[in-house]
Amino acid sequence: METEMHHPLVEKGIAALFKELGPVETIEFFQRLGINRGDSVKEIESITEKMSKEEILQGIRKSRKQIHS
Amino acid sequence: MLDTNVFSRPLDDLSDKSVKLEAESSKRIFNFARDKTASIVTSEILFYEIGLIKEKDKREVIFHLAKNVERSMIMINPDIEKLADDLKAHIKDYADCLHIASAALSGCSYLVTCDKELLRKAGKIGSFLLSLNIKLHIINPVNLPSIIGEQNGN
Repeated sequence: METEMHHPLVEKGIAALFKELGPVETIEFFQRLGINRGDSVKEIESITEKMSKEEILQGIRKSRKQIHS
Repeated sequence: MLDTNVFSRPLDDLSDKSVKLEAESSKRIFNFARDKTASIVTSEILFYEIGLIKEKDKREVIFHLAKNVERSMIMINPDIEKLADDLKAHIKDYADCLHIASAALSGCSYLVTCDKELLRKAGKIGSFLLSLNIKLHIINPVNLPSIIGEQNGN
C-alpha cells in the first residue's frame, strides 16, 4: 500500500466529499471526473492468485499500520 | 461483508452491461449502510487488496469509501487463518479464503462479491461452512437489494 493513499490534503478533500455528499454521490462525482477504468475483479485476482499464504499474511501485517491510522 | 470488488465496481469500466448492473447494485448497498438498513463489515484482507489497485486515484477513493460505510473491521486472527486454511481445499486463491473466513467468523449473514468463481462455488462453500455450524450466503451484489427489501417488508 503506497503512502499517497493517506496524503493529508487528498484525504481531507475526499473525507469532506463523503461528509457532504454521502457515499453514492461521492462515487458519482468521481465517475463524472472519468476515473472509471479496468476490471477490479480481474486486476486484484491476477495478483492474489499468484501469492502464497505467507506472502498475503505478510502483506496484511505490513499494511496494518496504515489501515488503522 | 463486502468483497473488495464490490467497493471498486462503481469505478470500473462500465461499458459492459453486467458490470454496470453490479455497480448500480453496489451503490444501492452503500445507501443501505447510510440509512442503517444494513451493516457493512470490512476486513484487513479487504484493505490489503485495495492497496493492490494500480490506479492511485481509484485506490484512494475506494479506501475512503470503505472507511465511510463500514460499521466495523475484522482483524485477521488465528481462528480466521485456521478456517482459511481449511477452505483452501475448495478455493485456490488464499485471499478469497481469508475473505470467506473473516465473514464466516464475524457473524455476517452474507459475503457479497462480483467474483464469478466464488459465486459458482457458493453452494459447495456454504455446505462446507454449514458442516461447521456456520451459516453464510455468498451472493452477487445484484441480489442483495431485493433480499434486504424482503426483510424490510418492501
